[in-house]
Amino acid sequence: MEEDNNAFYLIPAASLMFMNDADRQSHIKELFLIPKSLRQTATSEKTAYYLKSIIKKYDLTPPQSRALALLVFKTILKKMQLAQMSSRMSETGLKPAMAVQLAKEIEKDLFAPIAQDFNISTPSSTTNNLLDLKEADKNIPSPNTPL
Amino acid sequence: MRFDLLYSLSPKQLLVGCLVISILTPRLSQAQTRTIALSDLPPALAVEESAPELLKLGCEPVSVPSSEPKIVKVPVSKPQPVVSLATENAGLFTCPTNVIQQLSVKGQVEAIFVPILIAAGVGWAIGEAINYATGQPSATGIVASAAGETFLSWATKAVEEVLYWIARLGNYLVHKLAFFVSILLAAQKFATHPFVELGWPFVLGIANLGFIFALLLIAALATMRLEIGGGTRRLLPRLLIAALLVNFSLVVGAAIIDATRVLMAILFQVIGGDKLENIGAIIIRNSQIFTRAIISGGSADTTKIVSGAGVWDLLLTAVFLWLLVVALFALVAGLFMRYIMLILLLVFSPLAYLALSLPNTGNLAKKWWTTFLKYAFYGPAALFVLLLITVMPPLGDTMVGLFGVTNKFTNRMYYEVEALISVVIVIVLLMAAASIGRFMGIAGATAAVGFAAAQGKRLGRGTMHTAKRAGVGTAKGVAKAAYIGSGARKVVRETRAFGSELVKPVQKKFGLGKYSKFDEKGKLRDGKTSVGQSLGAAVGQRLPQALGGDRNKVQESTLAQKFSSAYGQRDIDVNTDQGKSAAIRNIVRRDAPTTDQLTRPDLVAKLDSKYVKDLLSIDVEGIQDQRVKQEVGTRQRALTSGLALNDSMDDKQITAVLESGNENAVKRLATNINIVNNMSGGQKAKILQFDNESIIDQFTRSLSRLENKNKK
Repeated sequence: MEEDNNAFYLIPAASLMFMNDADRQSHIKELFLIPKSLRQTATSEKTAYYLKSIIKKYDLTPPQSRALALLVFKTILKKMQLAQMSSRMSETGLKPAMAVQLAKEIEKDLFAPIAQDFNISTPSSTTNNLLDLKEADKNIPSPNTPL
Repeated sequence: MRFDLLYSLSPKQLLVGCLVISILTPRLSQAQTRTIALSDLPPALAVEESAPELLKLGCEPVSVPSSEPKIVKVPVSKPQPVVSLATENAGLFTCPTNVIQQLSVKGQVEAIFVPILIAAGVGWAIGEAINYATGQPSATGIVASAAGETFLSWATKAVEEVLYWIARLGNYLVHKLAFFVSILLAAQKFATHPFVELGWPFVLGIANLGFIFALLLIAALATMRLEIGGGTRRLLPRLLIAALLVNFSLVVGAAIIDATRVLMAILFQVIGGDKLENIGAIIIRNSQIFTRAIISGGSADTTKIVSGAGVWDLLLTAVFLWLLVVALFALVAGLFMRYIMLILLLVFSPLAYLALSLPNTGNLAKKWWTTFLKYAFYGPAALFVLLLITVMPPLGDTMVGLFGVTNKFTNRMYYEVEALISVVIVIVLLMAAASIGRFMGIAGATAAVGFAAAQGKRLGRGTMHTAKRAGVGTAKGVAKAAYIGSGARKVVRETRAFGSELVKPVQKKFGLGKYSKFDEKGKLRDGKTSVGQSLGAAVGQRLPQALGGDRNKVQESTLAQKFSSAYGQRDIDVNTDQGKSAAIRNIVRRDAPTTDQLTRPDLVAKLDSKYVKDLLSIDVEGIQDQRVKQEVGTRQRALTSGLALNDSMDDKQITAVLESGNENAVKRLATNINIVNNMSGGQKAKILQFDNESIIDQFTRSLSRLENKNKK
């Protein structure tokens, strides 16, 4: 049960619970605009278990773990570019080399299978995404919250 | 012979003697007759001469005895039998042989045939048959025809007499029935009728007693928490209102009847221009036009049927008078039933108010009102049709100026045609007035109108038949008795059938007769539960509570028991059509959890998760039956409320709700942070996968609130 719950918080869409009302509603709207396969990835427990394995591999802290789930969610919603993943992870205190490695791995394992629906090359407003991430970081739960 | 005496006479004496003998002998021989059997007579000559002519020629009539032996006396000097064809009575004569040459002989006939044919009464037919067969009139045939015509003349008079009495009887009945119409339409005594004055207070007393029992029953239902008839909240106000109104039941009923009476009086006064009491006389006046036209030859003053008016006229009069009788009878039967029923309904009116206050007897009160209004307004409705009879134009006027008719009484044929049309209109209007009762569902009206229609159809045939039989003699009485007998039997049959139809709904309502739960031997029928068993079970279930037991425990065990019997034992797959139907049937079963129970979280917590899943997964919009659709929809909403209020909802029920796919229920669950807190990661993940923005929004909001709560 506990483990189940930990995995649940790593579901990308579960990051909605850490957002304020306006952001949450805007993200939910986006969630229902993207293709079904992408939404499936954003809400699936499979994604959560994959992220859990990554977290274990890179020995991420709970805040870093939640940040990772949020970044994946934003990337799926095209609110952030995949290329920004490494830099954003390094902002959470992860070593840059590890962050790049982690981003590559996620791109290969998580986003490659859904590349057709997920237009990786489409640029988006980086500034906004950064602001979003900063905003989201404020709501990231305390490290005491169980994963 | 002694010839020696002749020798003793002198020549003079012999001469005188010879002279005397020569003078007397012809006289003596002329007066001499002989007695002979009719069959021994030589063949009779059929002649055209009449009886007086034959007598003038010296012929003598022969008297033929009606009984055996048929011995006749024939003058010796007139040995030739002769039958006159010119006389009405085929009489037998004997003539001298010397006059035969002077007669116009048409043929010969055995004299013995004449009395036989007369006695048989079929002479005319046989005679005609003989004439036809031989190709020329034979004496036998001619004589036979003459005899038959005599019989027909006699028979015609007999038929006329019978028709006359039939018509008179019809005329008498028309008067009587029209009088009854007047009485019944203008009847004033309803609430003041002695039967009502005595009966109503008695029934009121019973009704008041019933109110006490009703009060006790409602108290018992409230104590046992039985939701019968809408529960105490609905029953008690109705009881109080009914207990108040019951004392005015007679006033209310009488006021409605009076309103219809006033309506009838005004209608008749304004349109008919006369008093309602005179309607019978007006109907008689306008319905006897045919009688007057036919029988009295158009004299407007004559209303009596005169004897000897002729078979055809009497027959027509009899037929139409009896058609009037049956039409009036149907109307009188309907009005009579109205009067009786209104009096009975007034007497029993307190019970209608009592029925209003008791659980499940509201229909009886409604039925009383429907029946009462139907009977009350049958009077004005029938009168409205009868008014058309009263405004019919005077007879004969419409024919004047047409077909060269200058005087309505002189051109009888046209006059009769108009009379025929008028009387048919009267009959049709009378039947229409009676039929209104049938359309309004008046008891007995259908039977009376049906009876009248059947009798009307057979009336023409019956009258002819009866009249024909009248000539035959005794058979007439037997046939008529049988005919009346068959009519009486028909009335009995109709009445019995009507009674059976009337009693059937009552039997059905109260479970009597073939609708009883018990068979003829007094044993309970299969699948039936006696009142004692039901009451025992209900009391048994609720007794611990009534005796101060733990109400919740009792209710929980009752609910568990209900659910177990209604659903839990069955393995139903709602994904199949058959399983879905079975689930719906079980969910709406009388002993399944009620809507009220499903809103209570403490009771809902005891529900089997399969019931929760099956009830919530039913697509209500797909149910065709509106009643079932409403019941299932109401239960779904109730269960959703009950579930959402249960903070300690268990894992199985949460899974059941999520697996049901019922978005309303999932959303309600997602709003309760206690329930969300109890959810496993898998259950939460399942909610995230719902294709519903609102659910995701509500769920993540609850998660956020929970997170903040945990932080604090």
